[in-house]
Amino acid sequence: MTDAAGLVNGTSPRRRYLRLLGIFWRNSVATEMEYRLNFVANAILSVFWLGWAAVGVGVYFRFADEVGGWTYPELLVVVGLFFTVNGVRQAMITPNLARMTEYIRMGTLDFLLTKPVDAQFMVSLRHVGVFNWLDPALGIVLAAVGLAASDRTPTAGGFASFLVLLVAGVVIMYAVALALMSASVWTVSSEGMDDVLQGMVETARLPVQLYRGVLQTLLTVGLPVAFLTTFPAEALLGRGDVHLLVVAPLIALATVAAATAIWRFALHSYSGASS
Amino acid sequence: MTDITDSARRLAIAYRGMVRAALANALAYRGRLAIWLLTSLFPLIMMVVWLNVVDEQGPAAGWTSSDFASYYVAAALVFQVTQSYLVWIWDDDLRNGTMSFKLLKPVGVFHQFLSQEIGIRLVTLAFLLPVVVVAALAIGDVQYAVGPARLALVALAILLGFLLSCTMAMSFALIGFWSTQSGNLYSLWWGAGAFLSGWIAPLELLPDALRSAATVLPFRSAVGFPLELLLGRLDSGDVAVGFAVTVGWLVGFAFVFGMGWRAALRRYQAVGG
Amino acid sequence: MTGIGTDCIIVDGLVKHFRIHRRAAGLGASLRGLVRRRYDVVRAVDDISFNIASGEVVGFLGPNGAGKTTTLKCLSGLLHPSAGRVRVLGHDPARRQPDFLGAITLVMGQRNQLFWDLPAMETFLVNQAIYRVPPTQFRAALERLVVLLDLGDLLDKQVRQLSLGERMRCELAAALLHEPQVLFLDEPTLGLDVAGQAAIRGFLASYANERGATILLTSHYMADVTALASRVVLIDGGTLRYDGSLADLVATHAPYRLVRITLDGKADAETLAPYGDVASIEGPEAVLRVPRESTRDVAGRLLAELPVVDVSIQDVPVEDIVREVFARD
Repeated sequence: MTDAAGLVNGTSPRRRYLRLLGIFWRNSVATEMEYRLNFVANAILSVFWLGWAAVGVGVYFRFADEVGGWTYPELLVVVGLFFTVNGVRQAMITPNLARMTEYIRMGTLDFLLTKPVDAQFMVSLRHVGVFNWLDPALGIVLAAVGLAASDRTPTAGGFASFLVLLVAGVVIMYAVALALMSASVWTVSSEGMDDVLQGMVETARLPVQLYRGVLQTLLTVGLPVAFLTTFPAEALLGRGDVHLLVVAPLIALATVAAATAIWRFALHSYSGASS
Repeated sequence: MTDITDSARRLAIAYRGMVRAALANALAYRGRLAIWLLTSLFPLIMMVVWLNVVDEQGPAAGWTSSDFASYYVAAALVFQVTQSYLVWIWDDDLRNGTMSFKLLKPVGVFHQFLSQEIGIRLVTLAFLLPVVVVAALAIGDVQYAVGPARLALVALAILLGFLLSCTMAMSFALIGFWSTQSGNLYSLWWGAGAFLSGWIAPLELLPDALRSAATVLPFRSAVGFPLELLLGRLDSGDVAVGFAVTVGWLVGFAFVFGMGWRAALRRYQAVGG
Repeated sequence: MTGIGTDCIIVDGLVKHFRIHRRAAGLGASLRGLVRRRYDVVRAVDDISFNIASGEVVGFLGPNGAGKTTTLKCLSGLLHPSAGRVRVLGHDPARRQPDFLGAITLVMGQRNQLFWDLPAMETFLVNQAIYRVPPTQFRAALERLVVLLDLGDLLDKQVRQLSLGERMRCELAAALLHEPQVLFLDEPTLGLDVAGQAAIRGFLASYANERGATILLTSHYMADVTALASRVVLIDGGTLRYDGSLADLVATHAPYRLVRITLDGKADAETLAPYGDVASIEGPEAVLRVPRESTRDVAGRLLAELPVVDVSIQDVPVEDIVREVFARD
């Protein structure tokens, strides 16, 4: 979609979008900061749930040194990355996904569609949730702890591949969310959409090798859950598959393209229906 | 004496109507279906990991694959039926003013919320039962060596566990009259309790100290106790203790709620909610 | 049980204060606020007394924040007074006894007790169970309310699909199925369009006539009160400004009427002054304030002595009267 207004104003569209994103997020943060008590309380809860998850998976290791080829510290890396990815989901996706019903029912979607800014941008990234702001950072901390405890130091290449795979994973998650937003345009409701995404992401708490057979295949190929935490963790731990460095970005691009196409299609049918 | 039977009759009539509406409401709110199904299947994920452990290392603390499968398949049902989101529902009603309407009905607010929960749980049960049965068949190796007598005890344990869970949740919900943090406090309570309930892992697989603590704390009543009962892993002594602990905590929290409600009401009437 | 004419609602020296803690902006103030809180006392209701007899319809008028809703909440038991005494149907509302709760009802504008995802009928059935309304009585009440409120095709639609006006009508039905003796209505026409407001007013007027219930109605719309209540209570800043009949209010505070004339040519203040108080002049049109007793005389003189093209005699809008009452002090 061309941004005529942006070009007219002289600033490049990208600069404009980045500036807008900054404004949106600053507003979201300002609103949430007002609830300072919640801010602090949520930080405490974040730490609690992180510890809870770390200790929880430890129970398996009372009976084994390795499960599915993963030791306890290695597993902690995955759990840490889960908190990071899930934190991103709750901060950037959930607030917008939840608002979809409101947009559609209140006709705000129409309103957004007439703004000279890409609707996809507006709808999918407008709001940011700050209530669990600590999660992404805590997740990285836990991953680092797991890494240290497993006596591995990632090489520069390993770290770079980790970043590439993590970003690819997040992009894939965004694509799935976008597809769900399109679905909610069709069904005129976003009830349960975030729950579906949450359910999917929750399975990334553990590496896919801990699931077996059909489930493992499903989570690698069908729903690309393995890309969210397992592959980045493996890269960090120096046991990843090199081919993924090519495959993951390709899959990320493909899923975003597909989701964008679905979104456009949904919008077409929507504007057709609402007139 | 007639006063009490009269009140009981009135309450029963009110419950019938309220539960009926709660059923209709739960059925109408289709969005919830997704989350019920998804969260109910979460125990199966935990099960899969245990099956891996058994595959690689052999039985864990005497638990075989069959044991784990049986535990977690039943857990899919028991977790959903006995856990409660009351604290958040209650908090919502407080914030959006619906509590005023509830307070003006000639039926206690406790009963209004409990009947709502009963309705939701019944619908959840109705949807989950077939799903769980299918899962059990698919997974295979699921056995419950229990006769009708013990099955009745399991049903009783689940019912009492449900009541305890609701009463406990509502006691925490009362905090909402003074603070916005009732949900978070309940989360901490529940989260800590998850280790002592049989949610994170069957209690027999935990260190002895935790197991002993779990026997006297309220968390096991809604989760581990009915499951262990179903799996036939408890002798009559354990069963008696389990029920005694459940009933004890139920009475305890009922008392806490009763006292707390009076204070909460005075607070509400002082500051207007 | 109170009979017609006896006092159904007694309010004696009602006082309701709230402590609001002052929260200043900035991180420093927030931190200080954790340790030591500064409180302001808001006097929402400051010594109000009135009695309402069984069967009366009373309108509470006042600007936003006047204390009308707080008074209503004290009367329904949602708030307990800081001082003073409140009795409704012989009960202390704050004690929330089941007999009391079963005899009253509260309706709030733009707020619902209806189940959102279900047809209104479901809420009716729950209320039947909660208030223990016998089946025959319930059916009769329902039929009556359906006709009066024109609910025919609304009952099997999900409440969320109804318009605000339709929802309000269903809300009223849900609130009245147990035939309460006392109705507390808090801004019932708030947010409704003109047709919606008229529908609610019409219904309440018929209901009041037929059922003889005691009705307390708060509103900041004058029209609500003029349509329904013969007695008005004006509240502002938590205090009672006026308590009496609407007619008396008009007579005492507006002992004049408005004479509007259109002249052939420009009207000017000097020429008109001898006839009465000139309220406004706009081109050929003028409005004069004339004492009630002399209205006919003045009108006659105007017609005879000036080139009058059109004349009309009107009462001062009650809104203006009320505004004046509030403006004093």
